[in-house]
Amino acid sequence: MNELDQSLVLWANGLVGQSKLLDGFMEVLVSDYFTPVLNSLVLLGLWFSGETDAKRYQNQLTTLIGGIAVGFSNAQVAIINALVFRDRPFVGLDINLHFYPPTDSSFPANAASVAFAMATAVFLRHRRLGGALYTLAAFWGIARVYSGVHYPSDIIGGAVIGAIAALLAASLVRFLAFIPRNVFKVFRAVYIA
Amino acid sequence: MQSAFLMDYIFWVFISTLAVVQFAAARSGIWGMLYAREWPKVTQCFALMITIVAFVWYFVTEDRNQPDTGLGLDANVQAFWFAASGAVAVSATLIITSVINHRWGGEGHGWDNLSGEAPPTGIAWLSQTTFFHAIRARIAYLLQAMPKQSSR
Repeated sequence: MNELDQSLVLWANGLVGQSKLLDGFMEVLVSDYFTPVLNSLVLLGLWFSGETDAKRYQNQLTTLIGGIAVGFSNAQVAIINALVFRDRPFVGLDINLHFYPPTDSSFPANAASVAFAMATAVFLRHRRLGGALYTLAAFWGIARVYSGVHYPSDIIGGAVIGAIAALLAASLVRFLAFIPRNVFKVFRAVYIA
Repeated sequence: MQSAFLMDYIFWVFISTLAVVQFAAARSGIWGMLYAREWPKVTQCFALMITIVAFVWYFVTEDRNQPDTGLGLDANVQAFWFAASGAVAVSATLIITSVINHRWGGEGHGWDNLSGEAPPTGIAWLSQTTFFHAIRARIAYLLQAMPKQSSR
């Protein structure tokens, strides 16, 4: 498993410097800002979307689930980081680093957990939009491996954590449905929901 | 300088939020939240274009891959400033569109203030009126209802 992880990182990272276009594309994609901001804007847009009150309410629940899912995924990553520490690929391997060198644990990939948490939250309600966010999350993960800051298994671990976090958040919101229903009633009274 | 980096981030989120809200409102028929109420299709195209330009501007003007121990922003700071900047952008939209659409929002907004009934709730009503008109109607209704309730 570890050998496969290492050979995949070395293969992907070996592409760095071979194409300026690919390097530039990955430089944007790997950023700490591109995917989180794009995903957050999608969740924000959903808040105002919907042709009927019922559809808009469901979309607003999706936004809420997305926000809670990010919190849950961060909490899960923090707990795992307290128990397990894995060195980054650039520590032990001959890597051409295409990003700044992070100092926290490589496993699980926090970036992947956040992106997959938001994508899953959206996918539960909007298959196509959620699918697009899954694709973006996957590309973010690939960019991290390409840049030499994560092993593929870190990304897979993060993705699983993110998906679980979103499912947990959706279950919690369904179980405690009276809370968002009443909070949204107040928001509707002041015309922000 | 971190403050310049942070300001860029805030500005980027602010502009993108303005555009995304316009796109969503135009698609959902919330006319009272639009800067150009008469042109929803143009608004959608323009909003999409502005969002793309904002993203390109953000990533082209500087190297954004900075560690959060240096120039970069850590996840919590990023989340806080996204929420703050987004909230300001939504507030600005509600205020400015209320001013722009003031006349339109005052006529035939689907609620009779003399009926004694509560005004409609939710963003849906902003398809017929503006945020200011809606808030004014709600406050007027609450003030009207208050003495009735206290005299019971």
